[in-house]
Amino acid sequence: MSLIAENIGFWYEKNNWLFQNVNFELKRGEVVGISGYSGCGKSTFAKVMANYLSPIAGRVVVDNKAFVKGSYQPVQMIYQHPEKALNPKWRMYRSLTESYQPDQEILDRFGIREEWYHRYPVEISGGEMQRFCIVRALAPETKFLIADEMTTMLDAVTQAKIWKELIKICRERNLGLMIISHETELLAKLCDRILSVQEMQCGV
Amino acid sequence: MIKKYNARSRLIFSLSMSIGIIIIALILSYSLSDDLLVTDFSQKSLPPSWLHLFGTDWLGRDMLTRTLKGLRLSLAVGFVGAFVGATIATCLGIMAATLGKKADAIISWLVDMFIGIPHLVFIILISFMVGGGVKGVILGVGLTHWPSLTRIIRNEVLSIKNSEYIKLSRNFGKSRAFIVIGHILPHILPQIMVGFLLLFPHAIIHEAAITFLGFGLSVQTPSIGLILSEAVKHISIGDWWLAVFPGLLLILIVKSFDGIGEQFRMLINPNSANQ
Repeated sequence: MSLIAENIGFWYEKNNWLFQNVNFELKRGEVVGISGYSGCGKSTFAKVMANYLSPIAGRVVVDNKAFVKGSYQPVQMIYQHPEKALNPKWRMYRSLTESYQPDQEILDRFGIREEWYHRYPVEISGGEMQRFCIVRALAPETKFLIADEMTTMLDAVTQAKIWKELIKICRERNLGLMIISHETELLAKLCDRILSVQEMQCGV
Repeated sequence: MIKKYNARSRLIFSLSMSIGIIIIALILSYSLSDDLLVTDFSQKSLPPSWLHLFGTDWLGRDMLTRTLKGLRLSLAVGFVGAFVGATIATCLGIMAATLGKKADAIISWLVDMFIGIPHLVFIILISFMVGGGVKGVILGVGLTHWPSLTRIIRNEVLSIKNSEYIKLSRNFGKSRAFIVIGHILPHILPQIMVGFLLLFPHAIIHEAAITFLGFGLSVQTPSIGLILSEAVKHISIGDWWLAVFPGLLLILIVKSFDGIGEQFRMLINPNSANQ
C-alpha cells in the first residue's frame, strides 16, 4: 500500500513550471524527508500530494486509486501554522472532534489537557494548538501523514517531544509519514530517506 | 477640563440613544388608548396643543396616536421586509461563492441586472402583482433590496472559503452543508446583521413611499405613508401639522436605524472600533 505520484507537475503561473515530471512513492510505515531551500516548491509538492491542489500534469494515487471527493481522505496534512488550521470561532474541543472522537490514550500521549478544551485558539499557545492539530489528523482512517514544517515555530524541547510521539505512532499504526523541513539535521535524525524536490524531477 | 471620549464610547452612547428613541416610540404606540382614534367632530382640525401634541385631523382623531400606531406598522413591515431581503441575500451570496463558477456568473449577472432597475418602479410592480396590502409591501421591499448585500456576502465568503481550516474540514470528509453552516455562517453573521440593519430604514421609507403613491397598504390600516398621503390634501387649507409631525418622526426613526447600522458596522470593524 503506498501513496504514489506519477509524473506530476505543477505551475501557479501558466507554463512556469515549479516542478515537472516528479515521480515519488511513499510506502506505509516509511518516514521520508523532503528538504530544499525556501521557495523551491516543498509546500506546493506537499499540497499536491495531500490533494489540496490538483497536479497540472500527471496524477497522485493511493493504492492505484484516485482520491474520492466527499469522504475522509487517507492523506492528511499538518500545517506550519496551527492558528490558520483552526477555526478561530470554534472552541478547541469542537475543532478536535471535527474529524473523529479521539480516545484518552492518544490525548495523553500528546499531553493535551482537558482545561484547554473550552478555550478558543487565541487563548492557548502555538505548541498547544499544534498538538490538537496533530491528534485531529490521526483518525483511524488516516493512512499517510504529511507534516509541512510542523514544528518550525516551536522550541527545541517541545519539538523533540512531539516528533518522538508522532514517529512512534506512525510505526505502531504503520502510517506513511512525509516530513517537509528546511532543517537537514532534523530530517537526518528522523527519516529513513531524504529527498529534495529537485532531485525527484527526472532528467534534471 | 472636558474628558475626551474615544470613538468606541461615543458610538455606544449614540447607539443607545437611537435604540432608546425606537423603544420609546414602540412603548407609546402600545400604551396610547384607541379611544383617541374615535371620530369626534367637536375636536376636528385642531392645531397642536398640550392636549393634542400633534394636533387632530379632519375627523377629530388625535394625530400623535395615529402617527405612533402607524409607525408601529411601518416598523413591523420594515422588519419583515428587511428580513426577507437579508435572507435572500445570504442564500444567494453563499451560493455564488460556493457552488462554482457557473452559479457565480449567473448570480452576479442577476445582481447587476437588479441593481440597474430603479427600486420604486419594481416595488410598485411587485406590490401590484400580489394585490397590494401588507403582503405586497413586504414582498416588494424584500425582493428588491437583496443585490448589494448579496455582493458583500459573496465577497466575504470568497475571502474565507480558501482558509486552511475549511480545506482541512473538506479533507475530513465534511459535506458542503456542514462547512457552510459550521464554518462560513458564523463568520459572515456580523455582515448579515449590519446589512439587515441598513436595509431596515430603506424598507420603512419605501413602505411609506408606495403607500403614499397608493400602491401599498389599504386605507383602513394606520401607516405613516397613508397619513402623509392624506395630509397632502389638507395642507392647502392650512392644516400643516398633519404632514409635518408624522414626517419628522419618520425621518427621526429612519435616521436612528441608519445610525444603528452604521455604528454597528464601525464597532465590528477592528480598524475603526478603537479609534
